[in-house]
Amino acid sequence: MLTKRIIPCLDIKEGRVVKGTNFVELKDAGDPVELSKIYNEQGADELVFLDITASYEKRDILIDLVERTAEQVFIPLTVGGGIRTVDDFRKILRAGADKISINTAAVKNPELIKNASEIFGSQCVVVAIDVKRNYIDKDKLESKELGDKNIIKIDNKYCWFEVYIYGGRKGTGIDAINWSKEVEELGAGEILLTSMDADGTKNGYDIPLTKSVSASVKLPVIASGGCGALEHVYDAFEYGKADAALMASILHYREYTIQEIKEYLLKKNIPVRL
Amino acid sequence: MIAIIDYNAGNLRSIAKAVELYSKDVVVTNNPEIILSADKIILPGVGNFENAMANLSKEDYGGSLKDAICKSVNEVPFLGICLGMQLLMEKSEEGNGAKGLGVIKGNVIKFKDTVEKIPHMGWNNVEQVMDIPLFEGIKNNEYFYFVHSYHVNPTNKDVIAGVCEYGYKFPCVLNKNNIYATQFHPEKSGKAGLKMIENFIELI
Repeated sequence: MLTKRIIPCLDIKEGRVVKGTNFVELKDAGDPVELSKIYNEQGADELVFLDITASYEKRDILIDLVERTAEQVFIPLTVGGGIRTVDDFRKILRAGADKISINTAAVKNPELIKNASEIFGSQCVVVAIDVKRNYIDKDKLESKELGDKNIIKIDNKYCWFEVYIYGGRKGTGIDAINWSKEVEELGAGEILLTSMDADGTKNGYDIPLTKSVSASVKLPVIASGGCGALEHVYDAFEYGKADAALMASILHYREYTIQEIKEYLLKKNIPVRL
Repeated sequence: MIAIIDYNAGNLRSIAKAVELYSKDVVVTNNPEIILSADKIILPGVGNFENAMANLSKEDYGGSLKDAICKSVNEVPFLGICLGMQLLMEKSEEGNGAKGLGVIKGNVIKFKDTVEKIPHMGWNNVEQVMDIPLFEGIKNNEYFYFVHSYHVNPTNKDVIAGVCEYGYKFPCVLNKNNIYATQFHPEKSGKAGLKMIENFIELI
């Protein structure tokens, strides 16, 4: 039986792991290669490296890091951050990454999804979608300005899910559910869905968001942002219908080990690899 | 010497690193002559079937990788991984029915629409249906890492050594004489995967 995946996320800044809240206030959380080895030992199903200060000048640091990790850790490694071209894909895959996550570049140049999946295969094209809830007044629900937006009712309030780019700094006006369907059409292999509202809060994943996107595509969906307790992971799988759960601080600050998280899930009948 | 075939797609470093844990004599190559002189051959794989066949068919060194593979495949232990497994078949539904190497009879088909998610991505159990050296020291129904949207459908069911269930049971390990193939990625499957690579390297 296909198991649900637990994926530690390592936000990388200049070669170190950092962790922030709502995409800002970064704190140091350790050495990426060392942390990768620890998570691998604990039974992580995959690893994700997100280079949050990616630029061409600093790309070499990332490549070196991917190479050093791939030498020691034999589980899938996804790398994202500032990847813009098919050539960027090739370089990072060559360094030992298995999947490449694209975000801003995918929105600005959707052809990149198509081109990369044709060359390297869909399985290595992860489209990361950063999302913020955009609440609307009840009396504006019929407004033409909303266009094709998917309106979701949450706790008696109405919102749609807006896609953000440039590390959460810029709203695009694009509806995340529509965008998810589009990236599937273009050849993406997986969606890494991050709630900016939830990120770093440790109040739990955005379940309505996760569930809405998961139900709209056939692609596997990784829930991300907000994990702070065991129940949050369970909720993401059971109610959010996620295929994988991404988490950072809960692991980096050693609140739980991956083993403990999986034992908890198994008791609650969520299939995991132990 | 163990040759890992480089056809300009995907991640070759992780398979090379995994093999290097057990052998000092590993070459990642796109040179047909080196492949012809190898003691063992690994055809790794991620990528697109049609694209991969086009790359294997290029005549860069006075001969193609495809010809070298077809000559060596019955001579030395051979391991096809993921797309490298699918390429061994006669044809694939991926890429308008593109032709494969035709080493094993049968085709490559897309997962039926009834499965919940495509690609089949993540860790799943491998049921051992044949006793082959590759499974030595690996428990039945062990987890391995899969990522694929297509799977093989061999004509002769006697070559099926392992199966996996995703919506339905599909073949995930093939063995025909000295030829082995896995749909999952042993190089990405933690300890069990590394054990399988070690088993392959110890084949004579």
